Amino acid sequence: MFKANTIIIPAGIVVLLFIAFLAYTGHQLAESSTRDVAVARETGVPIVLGLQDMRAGVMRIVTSSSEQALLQHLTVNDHAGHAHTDARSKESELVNSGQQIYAAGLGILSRQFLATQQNVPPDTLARRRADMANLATVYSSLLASARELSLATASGNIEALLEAKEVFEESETATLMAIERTLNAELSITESMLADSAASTIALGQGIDYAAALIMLAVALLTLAVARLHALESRARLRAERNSDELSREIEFRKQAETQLVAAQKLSGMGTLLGGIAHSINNHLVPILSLSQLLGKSLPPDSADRRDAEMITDSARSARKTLGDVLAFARGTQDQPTSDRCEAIAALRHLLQIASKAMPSAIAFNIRFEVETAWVGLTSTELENLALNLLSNARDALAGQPGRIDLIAQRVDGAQAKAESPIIDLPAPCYFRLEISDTGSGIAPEVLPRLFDPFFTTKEVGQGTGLGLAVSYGIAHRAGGTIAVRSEPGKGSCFAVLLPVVDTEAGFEDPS
Amino acid sequence: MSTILIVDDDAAVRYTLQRVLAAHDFTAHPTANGKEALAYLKDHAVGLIITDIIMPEVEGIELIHTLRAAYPDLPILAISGGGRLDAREHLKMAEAFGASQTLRKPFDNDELIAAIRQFLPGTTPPANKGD
Repeated sequence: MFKANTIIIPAGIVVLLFIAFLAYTGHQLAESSTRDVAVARETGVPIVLGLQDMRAGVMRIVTSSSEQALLQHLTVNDHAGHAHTDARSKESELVNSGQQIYAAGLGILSRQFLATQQNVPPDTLARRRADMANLATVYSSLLASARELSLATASGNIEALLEAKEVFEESETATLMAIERTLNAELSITESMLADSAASTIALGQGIDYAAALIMLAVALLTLAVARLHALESRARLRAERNSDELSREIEFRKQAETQLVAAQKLSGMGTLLGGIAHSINNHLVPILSLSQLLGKSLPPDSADRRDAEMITDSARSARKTLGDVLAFARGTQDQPTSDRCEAIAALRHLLQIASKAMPSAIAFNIRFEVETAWVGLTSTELENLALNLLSNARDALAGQPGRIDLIAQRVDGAQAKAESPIIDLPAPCYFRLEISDTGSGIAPEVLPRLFDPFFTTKEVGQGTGLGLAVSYGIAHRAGGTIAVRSEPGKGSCFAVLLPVVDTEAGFEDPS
Repeated sequence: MSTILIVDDDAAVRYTLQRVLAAHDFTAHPTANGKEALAYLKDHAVGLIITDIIMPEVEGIELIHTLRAAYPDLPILAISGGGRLDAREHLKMAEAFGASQTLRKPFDNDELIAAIRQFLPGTTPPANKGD
């Protein structure tokens, strides 16, 4: 930016001086001979008009490239992509105007040539020809570097962008210096012509016009440069904003992934620990269970001692059951791939044969199968246990009161599954969804985060181990799925089990 | 009467198995690891082996593998209480390696005896003891 400013100021001064100069020489022109004036008018009018066009074009550039206008245009559009496109179209608009003006300037210069062939000294003519050729060359390399700059900006490669910008600025400077040199040469000739009273006024006038055209060219180029730099800046700012948005999103995603990873590791660690403890206790239970059985059988029936022995046996069996649940939960926490398969609908139908009979009559139990078959990565026992656990919880939530329990089995696609459970990673394309909802007491919001914790229970002491949901979650997790909960105290709860649909046991894709 | 060979590194489990087997008129010989078991097998005929899966020195699974190779007709009953993998996974592995039957620890005595009788049917349950 600063480079443009350091050139604009001296160029501005030149323009001001020249306008003053023009005013003075215009006065001089008026005093020329009638024939001269006629010729001047013939050749001068299109030039003047051309210059007026140029002036208007430059003003257009100057006003439309103002920072305010561009920024306004950008901020109005919220969507970054949209604003980006607008910045680009603004820029190409400016570039096109600049190019048009430059072309007009060159056009005027060549017309100038045709008009002044007879009246201009040959060495001046030769020099002007050389100037024009030089200006044309310099300008085309400027255009080339401008193109490179556009490409580099679009590529998003910072190094390429900086390099291209440097090349472009060098090219700009070269063009401006070429114009300045030409302008200086013309001004010195004009000065000497003014000093020489015998000089042709037409030649003088045309010389002035030539210089004016050159100045206009310089101004056009400068405003073009400023406009381009403005556009580049805005684009760079937009890109930075977009990158920072992307960066924030990336950071957010990584944070979430890390949290999930830590949670998974904790869970896995807990699973290993629980597995180790369970193994050890299972060993200790062998003498307790087996020897108490032996003892009991050797004691007189109905004796207190025999009852004591049987109590020990029962207690050992309960311990075995609890450890079994703990191990089931521990299994669920390990991310080992499983080759288990079962057809979910068949398993559910099997469960419901018994489960529907066990439902209290006060509860309206509605079953809806929206699919005929769905293969999932569990054993049928695991799926039945999971469904049974959720159904029992639903029944308990109604606490004997009249109400409703719905069981719905359906298929959903990956997007729907993700919508229901956004935090958990659900990459499969298709999920089996088992919904069990009730119109019971609901779950308090502060309880929800702890719902799947092992040994967490809202039931009375002795009523539940607090392992049911933990085990269910573990089962779902092991199959690559999850359980989503929605609940409103007083209204009811809805548990949705999401399990990836897998290949059938036979090894081919489920056709439905 | 065939001898049942017990292989388990836990003394309480060895004792319990012996007691339960004796109560059902089986003869059992306890060993603490695979090395001892293989040494015993060199010189003694055995009708069935009950082995734990996780043990030091010669690991249970490895033992089963070796036994299968050396004594192809010998029935092997594998038992497990879980561990790093859980009991289910261990037992699946045991089956894959050649165990004839698997059982989870702790077991009901009836379960154990029923499993053994599959391989040693010759032993009839004593009439005067309630089962």
